Amino acid sequence: MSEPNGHGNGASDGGNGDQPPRRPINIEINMQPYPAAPPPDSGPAEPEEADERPSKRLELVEAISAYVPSGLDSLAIGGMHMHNVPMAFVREIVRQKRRIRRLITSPAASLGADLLIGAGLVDEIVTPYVGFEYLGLAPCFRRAAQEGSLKVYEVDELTLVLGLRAGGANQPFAALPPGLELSDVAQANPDFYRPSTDPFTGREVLVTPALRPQLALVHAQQSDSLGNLLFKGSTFTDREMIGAARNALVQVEQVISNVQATRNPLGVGMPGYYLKGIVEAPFSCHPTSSHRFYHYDEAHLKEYLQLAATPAGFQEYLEKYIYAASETEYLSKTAIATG
Amino acid sequence: MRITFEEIGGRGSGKPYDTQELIAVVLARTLRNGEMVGTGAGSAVARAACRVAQLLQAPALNFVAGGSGAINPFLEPLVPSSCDYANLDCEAVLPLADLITSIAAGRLDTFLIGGLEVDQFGNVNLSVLGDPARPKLRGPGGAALPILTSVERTIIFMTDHSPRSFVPKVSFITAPGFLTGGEAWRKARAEGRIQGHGPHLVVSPLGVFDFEEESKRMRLVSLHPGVTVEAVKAATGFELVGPDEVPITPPPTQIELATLRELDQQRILRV
Repeated sequence: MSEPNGHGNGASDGGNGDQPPRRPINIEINMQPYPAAPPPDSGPAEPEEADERPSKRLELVEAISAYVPSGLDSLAIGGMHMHNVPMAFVREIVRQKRRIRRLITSPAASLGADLLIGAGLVDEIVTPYVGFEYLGLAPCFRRAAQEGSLKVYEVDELTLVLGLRAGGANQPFAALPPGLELSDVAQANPDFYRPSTDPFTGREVLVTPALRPQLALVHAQQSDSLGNLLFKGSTFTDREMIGAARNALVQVEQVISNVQATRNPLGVGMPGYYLKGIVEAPFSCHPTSSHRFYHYDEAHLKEYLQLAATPAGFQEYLEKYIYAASETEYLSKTAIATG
Repeated sequence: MRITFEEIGGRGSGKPYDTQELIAVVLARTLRNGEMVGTGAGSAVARAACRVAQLLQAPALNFVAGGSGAINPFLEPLVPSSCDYANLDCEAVLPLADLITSIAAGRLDTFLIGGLEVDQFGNVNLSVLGDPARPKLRGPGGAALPILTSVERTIIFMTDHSPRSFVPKVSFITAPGFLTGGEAWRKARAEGRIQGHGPHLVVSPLGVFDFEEESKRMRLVSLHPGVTVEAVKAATGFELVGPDEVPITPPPTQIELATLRELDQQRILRV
């Protein structure tokens, strides 16, 4: 056994009141003077800093074509209800007609899942809830499930969270608390609820497999070009999805400077090294909300629900808002541009 | 101890309150000082009930606004979506994953839930009607409902009261209530599968219901003003346990209604 720091056997024992021995630190600290503060009114308060680290900025179209091959094994979509749903990503998947074998949703999916399902791009869904909260049921989800063209794996929220956390920890599965076996959600979905034996007590325990999405698509309000994320409201299960996924892309309202983004490191929701790319896209959650940036567009959601009530109406929605339109054109057709 | 003030309404011609407002007030009265209450998707009525209870009789009550993770939101004003940014005007925000795991850990005393169907033993369905593989109606799904056996009690509020929503046996148990009755429920509880005491109350547009101690069958507690026993029986798909003399649900007091409307400035509960 080698002790590279030569401190013998006290390496980790700090409990005897002595200072724990320290490893020598071989980092050259490259001291640089603080940049001089800009004089008042002499330009932007935050000049673009010279950062040699590679930018993670991507354009929307290239991000989706690079990370969503048709037949993507599994996709997780963040946000919740009509809030922080990464709709620009979703619309681009629909434009590029990329098929998703398995869609994994947050505890409450809405328009993102419903659009992908309606466009015929999803084979199966793992979800605790798909709906529009007080606005009503999800029309395409409901139709596809009732027709049998969509395989629905309903899981409860806890199973989803523990599955994602297991995926993020490279655990093969997670043990579930007692009582879930009383629900038909567990009884009807044996692929996600399997009885096993607790090796410590010998009692029966339900277990659920780890969720390891091939890709997570999430929205955050701001980031720097390195992908340090600032969530300006609820994070829902976005952080768990990024942690569990093999790849993650994030759309943001604004890219801000590294200095601004990291001024309060405790406010950074996720460090940039987790991400493959960030896409700057203002209003990219529309018609869902982006916390603290804009409210959801209830009139647009109602228009969607009305049209999507029939397959023909849903096609009309796709033609009007998605197929024939880039993101800029999309926004120009909505209340954001027209008031 | 709840302070009651002069009652208004319930008599005369037009009711001075909406049914949703009555449900909010009835729910508020059932909440206890010091407990921690969960609410879910779309349940503005449940959030309003929690805040009214805090303001009137339960200042030490804590509650969470659904998936936003907002603890003790001020609801100024009450908004329709549980995950709205407006709910974050509150005392603390719990990351959603932590909130969800804390439910399983028994940190919630009461959960206010809704459903597509409720049955005579308080089991709730929010998932599917008919065969799950080819359902007649695919509902949204249960969200947190399957894990609420760890909560001390659930209170069920139903926006519809008809033979389609009050059924003898739900076609799919999303939230387990008293299962197939008292005996089965006591057995499951003895086996450690259930930590709480199950459904405590059901509040519908027609009345208030609880569950008979031994059989755990649903029982009529009170009729909302203007509702008859016959109307409730006709709207219920199973036989209710009921006393011969059924009291009337006390209508909202002036102070209850004023407190509620102070929050509900957008008139969400009056549509």
